[in-house]
Amino acid sequence: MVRVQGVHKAFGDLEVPRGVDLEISEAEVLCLIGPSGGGKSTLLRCVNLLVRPDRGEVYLGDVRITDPAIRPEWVRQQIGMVFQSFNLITHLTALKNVMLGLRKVKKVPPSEARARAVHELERVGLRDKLNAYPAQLSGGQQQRVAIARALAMDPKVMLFDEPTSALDPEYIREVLDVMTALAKEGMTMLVVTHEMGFAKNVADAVAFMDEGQILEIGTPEEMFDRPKHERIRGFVGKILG
Amino acid sequence: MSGRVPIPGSRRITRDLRRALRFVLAGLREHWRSVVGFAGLMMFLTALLFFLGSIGIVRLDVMERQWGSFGDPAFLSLLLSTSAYGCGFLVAIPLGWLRATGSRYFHRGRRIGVAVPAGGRKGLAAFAYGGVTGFVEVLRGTPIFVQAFIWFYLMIAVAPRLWQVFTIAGFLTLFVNTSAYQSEVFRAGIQSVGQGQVDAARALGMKPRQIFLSVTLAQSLRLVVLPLTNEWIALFKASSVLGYIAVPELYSRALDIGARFPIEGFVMVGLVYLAIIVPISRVITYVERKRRIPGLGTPIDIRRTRRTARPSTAG
Repeated sequence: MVRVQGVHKAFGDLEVPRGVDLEISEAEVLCLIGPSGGGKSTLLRCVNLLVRPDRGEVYLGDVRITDPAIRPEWVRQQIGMVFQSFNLITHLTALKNVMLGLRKVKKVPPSEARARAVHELERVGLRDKLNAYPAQLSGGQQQRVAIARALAMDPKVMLFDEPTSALDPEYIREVLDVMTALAKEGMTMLVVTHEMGFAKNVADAVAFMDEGQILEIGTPEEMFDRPKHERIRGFVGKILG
Repeated sequence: MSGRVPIPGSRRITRDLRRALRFVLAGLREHWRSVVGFAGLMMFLTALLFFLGSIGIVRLDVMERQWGSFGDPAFLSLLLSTSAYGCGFLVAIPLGWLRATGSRYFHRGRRIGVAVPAGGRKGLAAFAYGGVTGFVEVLRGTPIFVQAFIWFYLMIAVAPRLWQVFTIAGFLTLFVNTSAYQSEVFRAGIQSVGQGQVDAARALGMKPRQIFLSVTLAQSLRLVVLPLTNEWIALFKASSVLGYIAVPELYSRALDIGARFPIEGFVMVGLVYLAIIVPISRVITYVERKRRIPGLGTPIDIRRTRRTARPSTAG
């Protein structure tokens, strides 16, 4: 579904990622783990072209989306993204946040967009928060609105950029539950996370990324129980305690 | 009263008025000490005025006679500053946008390693950025008094026979000046819309123009309501300099009356400015507070402070 080939991206002297290859097949959940600053977020942003790679190619299905002739808006419309800091539009209610892409990008008529948005918010358990503004919601609720906003666009792939890292501990569960349900429904997901429990139980594959490169990729069992690299053993051990 | 047919919408207006009245009454109940203090000062000033009148320093009869002559000048002042303000508003949005997107704001993302589109502007846009910055600096860095005289003599030199040439020079003074000030308000408003929200809109597949209109501009318009109100008030007061370039506006009345009765003239014109500005600023502040969106432009997030205040009960 998504194929990343030799992607490089430099910010000044800092080059992350440095030649990353990655493949996610349909309905697969791939978790990206690794220390901060390792290039995980940038790699994610290269997939929906929020960042254009300096070198390398990204394919969505059969389409080479790094092709300059392809409009990035067209690519992003088909890839949902959830951010660490939720990034809801402050002046719009939960409902209007979810309707935004439907109305502006897909040009869905208002009543239809509204119905779809209500449905998506229902799915993430926020039927009673339609008219709440982001500041009136808890972090967990905001992140669920953000997930609903992405899902409303019928994405082929969902990207999650540390979706629970900015949350108070009591709100992490509700977001992970929504993501787990989504994975069970067969959504293709690329998840940057420090939630090892989620990676262990939900992911089909786990990739460890550091210093701009993927060090190792495997099933959760391989990665957590018998990783080939000492680095990974140390990292996982530190996080799991 | 009873036979009046309700016109459409009138019920809503009466409801709004009733709500505003309730707001005022509740305010009175809560802040009656301040109200008494305020009224006390007003009464003292009035009494002082009458005392000065009784001992012959202020001619109350002159003031009484002159009130009527403030109508037309007040209207002209309002018309000039409001029309200049409106035109300046339209010009200021693109200027503020140029300033906001051309500045370091767009580079900022690079330092923290987050992906940000196009680092700064290039080519024509860079020239435009410099030009607009110069425009803003010149107009904010010189007294409006000086600007008024430049427009005045410029207009006389260029088109001395033009209809209402002084008033037009006055309009230009206010219009160009407020464009610069308002563009800075918009620059700040646009810059305060976080990059995160823009990223989210991009990730949905929105085009840059759509993002600007329905996220950045829509949000900054709400953010700048109060600063723009301040700018209107400042402009309305600054329009008094037009009295010196022969525009028959409000302040020129003070100059006319002041030729014989200076205290009377200036006190009266001050009262007229107050009578216009205070109600308008109060109404806009009230409306802004009632229509404010939670979390937008409010410095303190009440919910968050409550949440951090009760970790002992959680878990």
